[in-house]
Amino acid sequence: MRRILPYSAVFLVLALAFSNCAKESGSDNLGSGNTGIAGSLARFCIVGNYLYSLDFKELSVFDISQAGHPILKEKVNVGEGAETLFPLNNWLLMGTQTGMLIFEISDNGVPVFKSSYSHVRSCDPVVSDGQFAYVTLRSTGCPVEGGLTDRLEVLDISQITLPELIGSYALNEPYGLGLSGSTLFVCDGGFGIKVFDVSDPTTPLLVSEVSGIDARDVIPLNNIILVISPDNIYQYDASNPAQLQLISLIPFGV
Amino acid sequence: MRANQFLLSLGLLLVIASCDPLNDQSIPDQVMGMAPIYGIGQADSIVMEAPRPIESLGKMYYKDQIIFAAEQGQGIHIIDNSNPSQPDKTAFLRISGNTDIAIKGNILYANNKVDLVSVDISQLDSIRIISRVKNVFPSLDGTGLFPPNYFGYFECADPSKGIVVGWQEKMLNSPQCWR
Repeated sequence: MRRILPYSAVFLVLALAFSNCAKESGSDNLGSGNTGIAGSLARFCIVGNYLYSLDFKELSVFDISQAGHPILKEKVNVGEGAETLFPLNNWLLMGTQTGMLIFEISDNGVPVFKSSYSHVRSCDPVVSDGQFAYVTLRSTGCPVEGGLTDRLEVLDISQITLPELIGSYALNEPYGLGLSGSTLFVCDGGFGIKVFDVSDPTTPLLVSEVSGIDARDVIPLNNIILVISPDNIYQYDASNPAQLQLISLIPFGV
Repeated sequence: MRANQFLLSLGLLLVIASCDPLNDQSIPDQVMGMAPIYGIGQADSIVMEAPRPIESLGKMYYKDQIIFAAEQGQGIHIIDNSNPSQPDKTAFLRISGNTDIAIKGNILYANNKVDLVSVDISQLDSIRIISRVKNVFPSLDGTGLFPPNYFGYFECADPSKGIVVGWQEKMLNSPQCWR
């Protein structure tokens, strides 16, 4: 019998790109700009006047310069299993089941394939400040076979078509992550939230942990982080990264 | 010939749905998998409804102190987060088969199954559908007999329960379908 994946497709991809769509220039990362902030799993993404959407094997480009009246401009075939979209300046990083595809957004909004990075797979979330990319690799629940260990990796992507591994940190069961300035929040599944100081990206420094929650996804807002678990949406005050304070939770089922 | 066509159709159906009952010994008593979400009402109606419990959280989106939390395949919980210590579920935006949203300005772009709809959300209590681009996301059609782009166990769809508008993760008891 073939191996049955422990989590659904949803959790297989519960992963890429936090604050995915917050990369519009001028966005303050608080969702008060023109576009909001996406959590993980995003297959929709707005960059400037274009809405990009992934349909597993096609990337659709909609011109939304006339608000509310999207015009389908182009469909780009991206191969099977494309699941997540992460905009980064003028690039689109796409998580597929075989790796990360890197597209450059051309002047007319249409993405042009530039390169791929096979080490990072669809279920490996990526966040980036433009110069460094932070990726978590999870060994279980991923549709790609491989002997990867669970860890955080830091890539220098200043040459985006030639990502270079510069640092790593061992984790237990990492899912999503979110970057806020030099603070990196990593969801380590049943092992809780880990908070890193990444002032020196080559050496992520663990500054605090929250245990007792099954953390899957995080969206950093101003001094607050939104954390998703299978049972609750938690909010923590993160103004002091060394000590997160629980502010509220939204329980499911009620 | 007719029989051949029938067999071909049957074969295709099996290939597509792959709803092969495994032999009983290999079906786990309990396993995580996917279960169908059955829709109510018109598949293409988009309406603001009273707040309701979050059951199966999909994606989240944040803008202007509002958390948009997707209920998989059903729509979006609107949560007022102007006071983060007391987030308040204020409404539920029903969008059948929805999996993804993005917002620019006052316009929410969402898939309503395979269509792209644009919704003016400047007044959350009186939303306005502005446009609909039909059939642009054929692969997001979760209305079939099996969860799209998923391999593993799932609960067999039961057409008598309604139209399948999406799929959600669930603990399954002795699931009879997989692919």
